[in-house]
Amino acid sequence: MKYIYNMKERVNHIRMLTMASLTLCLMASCSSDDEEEDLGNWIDKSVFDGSPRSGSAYFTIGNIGYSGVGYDGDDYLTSLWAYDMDGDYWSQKADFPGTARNAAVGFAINDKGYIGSGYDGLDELSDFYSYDPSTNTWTAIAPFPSTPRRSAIAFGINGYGYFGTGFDGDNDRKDFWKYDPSSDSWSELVGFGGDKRRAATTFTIGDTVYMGTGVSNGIYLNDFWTFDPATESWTQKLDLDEEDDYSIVRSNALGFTLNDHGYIATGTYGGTLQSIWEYDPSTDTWESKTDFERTSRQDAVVFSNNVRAFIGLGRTGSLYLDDLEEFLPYDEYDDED
Amino acid sequence: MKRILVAYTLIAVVTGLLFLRFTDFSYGTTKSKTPLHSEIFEVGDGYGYQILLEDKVLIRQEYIPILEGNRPFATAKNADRTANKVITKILKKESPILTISELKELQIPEFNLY
Repeated sequence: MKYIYNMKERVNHIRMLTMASLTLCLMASCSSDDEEEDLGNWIDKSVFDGSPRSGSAYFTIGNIGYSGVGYDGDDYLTSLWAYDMDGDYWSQKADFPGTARNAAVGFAINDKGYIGSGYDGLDELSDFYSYDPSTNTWTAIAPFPSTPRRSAIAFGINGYGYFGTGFDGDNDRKDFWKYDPSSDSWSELVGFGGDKRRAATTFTIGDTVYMGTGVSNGIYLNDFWTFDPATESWTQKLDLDEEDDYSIVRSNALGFTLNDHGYIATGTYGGTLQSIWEYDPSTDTWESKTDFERTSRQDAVVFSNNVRAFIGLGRTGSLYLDDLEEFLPYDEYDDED
Repeated sequence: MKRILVAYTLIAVVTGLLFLRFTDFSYGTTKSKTPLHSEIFEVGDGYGYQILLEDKVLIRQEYIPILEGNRPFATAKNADRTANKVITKILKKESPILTISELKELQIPEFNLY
């Protein structure tokens, strides 16, 4: 036949080729369906087994996330680990100089990290320390002057640290305090209109801090607040159960910020949770995202710098966890990465 | 006819490659028996270590763990002994966190004071 074959045959071959190409295209795109699923993908960043801990204090400075102290099921811990988001590796840093503890708070003011308060297995604690990443050194700062406590919340903004709520061993608390690093001193703030609570969470979008969740006497709190650091005043927002399909209420959750949206993730509400909710500050509304793809958990850690966010560690019941996952809120879910 | 044969062969090859890709088939790669290993590197006037799983860095330790300050290991041997301890712990499914007593046991001189 050589090069001479009739038109009909040629058409047949073209049809076959088209069919084959279509099949290939289908194979490559078989995972894209049009169901109404929550957006958000999780990428496994776990590197080693065997470093489980929960109730760690954490803070993020630049592209490095720090996770210190905590409880591994047997021992209270003093070690400090740093996770490099760019290199995707860990380093063991200078040990926390205070008593080993969990349920401490962690926060960052400018380029320094702070860890303080918490529980050492016997007592609630009030001592605080600052960590300088550039020199890898810890310094004891003025201890918290009021009731020692655990499961409090803290955040750093505009050069100050803010610390409040928590459990003092007998009662849940509703007081808020301000730490000024320039004078190394604490002062009490007035004006928080919410109820006492423990194990609440916060996130910061721009110059506004958002605070909610937590539990007191077995009742999960549904109020949600903003804190304006310029006026140091609190304003109540729509409740966390404002809409019927919201299931945001919980305690021992994570709060973090990504692309100027707030997130509340994992935690416990009767049982441990995998769910994650995205807050839109412009509309004061919440949207459900793809569940955390690993085991549901509470008392986990999150490293976030508004550009990237990583969630891991924590515990479910008495099982202590050692994994870490990156959260990509606008990607479609893929269970194989 | 030759052209047609070439076209079908190409399709077969592409389909085959796609199949291999989607089934995560890897050919010709024999996994090293000890994929977990360490590398020692110079830092300042001392040494640090990396723990790698194949070519993925898991832990990068430029400075001696636990200690305050940015102090590299004084000798490559000290860094190597410490790195091997971390690998042993990971292989035993233990936490890779080093303790003061372990570093004393490894005779890292900076821990003689403790």
